[in-house]
Amino acid sequence: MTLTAASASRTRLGGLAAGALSSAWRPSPPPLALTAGELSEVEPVLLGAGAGGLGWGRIRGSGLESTPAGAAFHQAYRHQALAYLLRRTRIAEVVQRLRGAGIEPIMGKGWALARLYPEPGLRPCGDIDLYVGRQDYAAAALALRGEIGELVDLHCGFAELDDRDEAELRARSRLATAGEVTVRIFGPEDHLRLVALHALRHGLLRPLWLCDVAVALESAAADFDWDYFARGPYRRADWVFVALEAAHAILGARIEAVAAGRRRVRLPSWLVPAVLREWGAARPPQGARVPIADLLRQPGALGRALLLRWPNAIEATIGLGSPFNELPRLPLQIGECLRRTFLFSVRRAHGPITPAGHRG
Amino acid sequence: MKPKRRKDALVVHELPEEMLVYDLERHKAFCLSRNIAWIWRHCTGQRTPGQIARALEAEIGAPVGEDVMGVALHRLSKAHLLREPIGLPAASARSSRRQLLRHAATLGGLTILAISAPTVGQAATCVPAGTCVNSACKDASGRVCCSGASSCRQNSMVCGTGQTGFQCM
Repeated sequence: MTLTAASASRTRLGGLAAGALSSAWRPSPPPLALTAGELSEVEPVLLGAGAGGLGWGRIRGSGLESTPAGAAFHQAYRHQALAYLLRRTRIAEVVQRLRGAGIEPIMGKGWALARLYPEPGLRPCGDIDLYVGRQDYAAAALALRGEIGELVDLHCGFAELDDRDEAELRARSRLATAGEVTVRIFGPEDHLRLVALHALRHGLLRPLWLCDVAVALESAAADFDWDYFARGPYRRADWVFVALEAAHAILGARIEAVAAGRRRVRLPSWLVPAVLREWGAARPPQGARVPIADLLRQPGALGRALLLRWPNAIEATIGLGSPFNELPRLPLQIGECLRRTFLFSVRRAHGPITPAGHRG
Repeated sequence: MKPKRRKDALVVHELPEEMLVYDLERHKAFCLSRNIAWIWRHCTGQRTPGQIARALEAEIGAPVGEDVMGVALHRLSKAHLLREPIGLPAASARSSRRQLLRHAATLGGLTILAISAPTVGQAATCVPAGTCVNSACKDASGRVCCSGASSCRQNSMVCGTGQTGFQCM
């Protein structure tokens, strides 16, 4: 198969995934317009991306429930529904351990996002992402020893929200009930911003992340503070609106929720095809790849791993702090590759740059 | 015999068409189809299988044989969802398996489906920090720690002893 044909095939598969997930986060999505054959094609893409539960939400009542893909999505949905309930207990335990150490974490992504979906089971809970101020990180890591990595992703600082003041993040945070306890989650403006920037930073690699952007966008209540949401460095604000527009263009998210009068960004023509191609390729996300350092003596595996890490146009744009425009992305992708190689070399020479336990 | 359902160490999630149950002791998850969920809910320790069968007949408007009820209770018992174990009733030996299944099917099925994690989902090529692995820093599927093939340390407190006494850093 030629490179062009392979790329077209991936784009088509990504398009099928987008069709399967369009509106999947809503309580009553419209009828699915895929055939049983197309559903079968898209099954590994959705399951691999943790979007099997959303796939079930989309096909139930469509007559495709009894297909093999339907059965797989149903199992994913059931599994995630139970995991959601079980995760509440673990969250309560972890948060209470931190509170015992005098630290109040803020939760984001994972369960904090899953609760925005209309029912448990649609979205996997993923890690328990907890954010603490840099000054509290060491004490928090100590309080959670044995937990970090397996289930808990303890963030030193506020990751993509590092342009916000901690006091303001806390003032705008909300309390949510997780089983017997209440946990602090990011306020809706900060959460949408976090989710949008996180998805872009990882090149919109997983369809689930764009569904998250869509569900957080459509959950915006009438009092959503769009001015605060857009506040901050101009380029970063631009990126956030690019993510919202992408959710609208690819998955049909209701962009009208964005406050009237707010500028709409125009998506560059390469963005939607790039996302669909990426979804069709179903690459594993960062954090689920064998480290390059382990492959340095295995040329074959190293070559494959490097190909797997070739930054897509979105990752490259974000990585180099560039605008989303019509200029070619290849120079940025090469630049991003060089930047990563440099960082890798520095890490190899001096040990990890980021604190242990901190993963994107 | 008056079957009584287990209540301890179970997480139950009711859906319109089925019931999901997670056993916190055995770490197993099940999906009970509507009728078997109904039977399980009515195993209160105050009714005999015959009484439950008649109540189910009234509920669904179709005959429920004692054989079928016996099979349903046996399945619940095998899944450890009843307090006391219940064997397959002797009467069911007289009915062929095909007859029983046909009868069960007319009731909308009496299945208990084991729920497992989606197989393709979370298709990671390495395992994250904190995961228990063997001394070669590999998990049961042979995946190495994301932090590196030599980046695990012995932690018997968390991972137990022997082959699983190591943890990814």
